[in-house]
Amino acid sequence: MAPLLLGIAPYGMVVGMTIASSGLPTVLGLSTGWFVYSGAAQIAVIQSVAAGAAPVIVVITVLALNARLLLYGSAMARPWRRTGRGWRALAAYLLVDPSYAVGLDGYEKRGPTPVGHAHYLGGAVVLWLTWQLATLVGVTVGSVVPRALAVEFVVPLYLVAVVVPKATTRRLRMVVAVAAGTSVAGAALPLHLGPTAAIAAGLLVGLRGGRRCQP
Amino acid sequence: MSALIVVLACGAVCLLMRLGPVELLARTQPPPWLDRVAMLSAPAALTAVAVTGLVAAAGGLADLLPRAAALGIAVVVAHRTRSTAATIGTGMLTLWLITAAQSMLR
Repeated sequence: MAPLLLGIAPYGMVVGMTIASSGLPTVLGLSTGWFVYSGAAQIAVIQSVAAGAAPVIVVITVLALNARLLLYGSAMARPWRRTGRGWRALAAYLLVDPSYAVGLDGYEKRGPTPVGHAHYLGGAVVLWLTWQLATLVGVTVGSVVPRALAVEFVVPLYLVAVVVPKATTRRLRMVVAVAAGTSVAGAALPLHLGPTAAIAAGLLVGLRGGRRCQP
Repeated sequence: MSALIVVLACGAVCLLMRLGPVELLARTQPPPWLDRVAMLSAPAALTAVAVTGLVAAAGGLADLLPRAAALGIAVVVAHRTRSTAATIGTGMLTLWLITAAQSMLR
């Protein structure tokens, strides 16, 4: 659990720095952590809203960024079957990459028992609190650091650190390359359509490429 | 106010994506195509966010070049070390060094 907290704290701070440099009201930026609660999606929402993107584009971008949540929810459907509706709603709200990992680990060792559920919920709540605190620290640090230091550059660097080690197959590298190229080409698109176009192009190439070659 | 509505809408979408399958797919397996899309969507989306942020943050070519160079070096470091700290540290250091060199040459 501790390594997970150490892993998410810097990312939470990055989100906070993004809020500080976006020009949006701080409370509005922080509210993405309460309502959206997903790092990459929060950054996309903050950047898109600050850039004046059309609401429908922002929502589509969030949908694309968080498609994996559908799988996480599907995987948790079985262990959560016998829990109450309120408990499931809270547990689902707290479902993110690290809490999913905590949940899988707990249910593997303890099964879908009250102890397993407590393991998931306890871990997920600690992760949520750590995330909100780290974001708040990031907002504070981000507003006092000189602009010349370009701390907002930590965001793309962090995403590189996440994406590159995972791009282990030819197909995934193709997806990354096409998404990157389309992002640059689509930077001038209206309504902040660039990221959505890049995600769509990457997905299209990945799905088509998968039919022709093995990863 | 309208920005808050966008954030709330995104929050509702996220909650639906998390809770929807829990309620709907409790007794069935997700379709195979959803598995493929989910596997590919994370790298595509994260790359799109990273590169768009890079291009948007750079005011012009003079700003873009040091950032692109630093990002390129960060990609190599991430590939070799798989370390988040090393990737961020090397990328930031490279950016600061190139920017300082640019200032000295002006």
